[in-house]
Amino acid sequence: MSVESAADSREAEGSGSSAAGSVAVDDVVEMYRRMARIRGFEQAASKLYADTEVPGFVHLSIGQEATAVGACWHLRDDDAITSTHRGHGHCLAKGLDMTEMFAELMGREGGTCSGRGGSMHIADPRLGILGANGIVGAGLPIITGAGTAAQIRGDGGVAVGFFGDGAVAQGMFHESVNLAAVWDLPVVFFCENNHYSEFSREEDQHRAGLALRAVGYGVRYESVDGNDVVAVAELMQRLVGELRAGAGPVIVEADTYRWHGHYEGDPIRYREAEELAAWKLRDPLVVARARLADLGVDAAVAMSIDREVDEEVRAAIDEARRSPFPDPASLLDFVWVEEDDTPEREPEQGEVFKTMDAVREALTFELEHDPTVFVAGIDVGRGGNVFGLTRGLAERFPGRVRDTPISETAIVGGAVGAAMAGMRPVVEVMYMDFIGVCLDALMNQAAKLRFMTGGKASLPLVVRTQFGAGRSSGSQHSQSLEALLAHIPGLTVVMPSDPVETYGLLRSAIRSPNPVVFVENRLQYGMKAPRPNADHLIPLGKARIVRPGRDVTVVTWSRMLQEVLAAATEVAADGIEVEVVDLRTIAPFDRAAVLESLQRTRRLLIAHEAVMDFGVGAEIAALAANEGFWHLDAPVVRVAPQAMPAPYSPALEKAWLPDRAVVADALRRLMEVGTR
Amino acid sequence: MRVQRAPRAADQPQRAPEGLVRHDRAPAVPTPAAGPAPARSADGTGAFSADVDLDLTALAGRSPEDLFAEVVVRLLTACHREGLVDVGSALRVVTPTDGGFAGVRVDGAVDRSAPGLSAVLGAPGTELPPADAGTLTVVDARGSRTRAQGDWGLGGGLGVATLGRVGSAVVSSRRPAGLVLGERLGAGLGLTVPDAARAAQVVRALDAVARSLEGPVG
Repeated sequence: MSVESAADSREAEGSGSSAAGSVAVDDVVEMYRRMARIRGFEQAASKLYADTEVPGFVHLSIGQEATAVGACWHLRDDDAITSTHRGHGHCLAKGLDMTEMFAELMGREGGTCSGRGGSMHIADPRLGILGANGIVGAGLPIITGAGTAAQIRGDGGVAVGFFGDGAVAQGMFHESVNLAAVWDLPVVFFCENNHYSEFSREEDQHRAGLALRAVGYGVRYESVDGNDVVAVAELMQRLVGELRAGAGPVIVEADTYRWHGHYEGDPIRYREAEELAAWKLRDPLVVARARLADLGVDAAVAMSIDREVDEEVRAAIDEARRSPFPDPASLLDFVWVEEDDTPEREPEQGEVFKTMDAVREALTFELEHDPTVFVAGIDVGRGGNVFGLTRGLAERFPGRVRDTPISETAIVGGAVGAAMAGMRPVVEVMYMDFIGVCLDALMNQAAKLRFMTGGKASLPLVVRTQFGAGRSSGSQHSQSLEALLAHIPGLTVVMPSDPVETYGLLRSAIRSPNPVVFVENRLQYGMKAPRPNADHLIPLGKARIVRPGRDVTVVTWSRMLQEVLAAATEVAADGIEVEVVDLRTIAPFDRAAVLESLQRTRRLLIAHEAVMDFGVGAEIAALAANEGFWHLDAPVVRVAPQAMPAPYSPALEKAWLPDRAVVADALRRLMEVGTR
Repeated sequence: MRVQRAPRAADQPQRAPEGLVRHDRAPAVPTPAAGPAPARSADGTGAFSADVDLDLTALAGRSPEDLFAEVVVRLLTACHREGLVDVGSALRVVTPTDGGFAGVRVDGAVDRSAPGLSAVLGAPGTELPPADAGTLTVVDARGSRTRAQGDWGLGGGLGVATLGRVGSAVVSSRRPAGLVLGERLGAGLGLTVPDAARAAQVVRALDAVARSLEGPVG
């Protein structure tokens, strides 16, 4: 019987009789088996790690088996869970294959994630397992997104986010619970309180318990004996049923204990042996055996299960060992989804529209044509976005254009979870400068989860944001941070340069199977151009030649393109023919287009609005110095602001930000360099 | 979207694209020092041999092993550029012995640096290593007074190169201050390929080696 069908029958029946009166005897037997499997798996994993057959890090949950089994007991396959770095039990309880898990820990091709994730990153979205996670608390924004997906679909889906008491101190916890409360999401925030945050005692980490915190968020709170699987399952039966019927989030605190150290090899100098011995008297397996005895089940049943589990574990390890290690030729698999694009067509020339119209119309088109698309962000709903870009969309698409709290981590992390749960979220980070607030969701989650799951997770999400220097917005509202994002493998970074580009590229970004950061320049929202045909698409990863020329190539993007085009016109009067390349997609960028242009002109200038040092221009210059070395007749020149925070004073900002005059001057000097 | 990736470290530095190597400074015909000598015929049906007189003065401070490795690396680079060897070609370095030849085989030799190759050649074998169709043989004939020519009966494979005896000679040159005397270190380098149709590549490769050693050497 699958986990899902078992859950369905349990929900339907509510039959049989346990000591507490609501869990059937056979169910308690099966709960014991599942806990024994977790115990057997983790004891074996501990030995395999000690024998160096499992590399990396291993964090075990021995002693906490009842929370995993009890919490997942009433979940369907399509209900989502997120786990922690201590996630073997959750994955087994949700139905993951033991052999594949052993193979994953061993780093083998037959592993759950083809050996790409390891112990801390096991996931299988097909079973609703949205991942163990190596970042404490990072599963909580993700489960909030899964709850959002379930709410939008309206299929009664439930999401359960496991976390430890240590995660409560993370900002991610606060933002996630608050967002779930505001949106009434069907999420159980399930705290396995094992009383230790890695090496530190609970009392040294918090001054308020979860019950008090729940009041602060306006969500329900439930506590339960986390070592009694029946008690946990009974609580979850009630809560899951309420959430399926439309109730909002709840915080559950399960009292339990971690027998092993924070990680295998931890010398555990921070707690006394007597404490562990006392908790072992409340071993979840012992408690379950007592439950079985109360129900009149012979002790031989549990002993028989133990023997069967031992044999299953042995067989699983043998089978896992037969799986080969991944072929080094497959090294780059799963980083990006790569597929051929439809060739770009010339857009039709309609009535004049603005960049801000392009954003709204691209969003509208995709919302209309794909029910999995939704939009979320600060003030994007009722307020219609700070620049009016989403005005009217919330009324037109109820429930799918959502205002969020000022919580960038929950916004972007939620997008990750919603994408893994089958949606195509388009979320907004109001200013690019705020990326720093939610970098984990981009860097460690969105960019890596496809790779770490061996391609099982899909991350079709868009993070729209905007930037723009030149209007005295100051150092925290002007930055062009594309290099920061482009350095993260797995992210696609797009920066359009005009209204038509914005429309075609944004639609392609929303349709992309990869996570895309879409960076608009707010100084261009009022820029006008003829409106393209509604089905106009521009492939990602392809640069375009905006102006052909024979003497020098200028590679640029976003608003700086307009400055470069003006400079090219200016120097044309001097007989200098400039070829202007608009990069459009910053990462992964169109290397061939740059090299081909350089081959024609033999000179290269790169112009961008981000500060020069360690920027995208440096990467393009490196391309020219290496693969394009044979074509160069002159040094590669970068035109970009000097490395310093964007100044506030207009006088300083003007001195800092290069314009068309600076570009034109650089072009003239570059053309003075003679050939060898 | 298709991702265009930067080359791996092992694939750098980049080789010049076909047609982008500038030969404009090289003469259309061999320099006088490079003396092509058809071994059998020049009609493209037999083997072809040529040799060049190398000026090794710039390498005078190097140990004999490092000097040899430097010349071999430059030869491999030139031969690769001319298509006489490829990245996967093996190198067989042999020395004449009383009983025939002995030496070592080096796989993937084209991407080796001179210090790297010198380290490998530091432990010569006692037997003649086998050669297949993808092997270039270099005969280290520095200990012999024999001219650096011919295939030494080691035919087969991509070809046979010979580095002859390294000798010094006093030479005069004219400077603004007048006539000055100096010491020139020289050696012969020969290359024989089994297909005379590749004569032009052989000549260009030898010429490139000779030119690369002119002036200061890094």
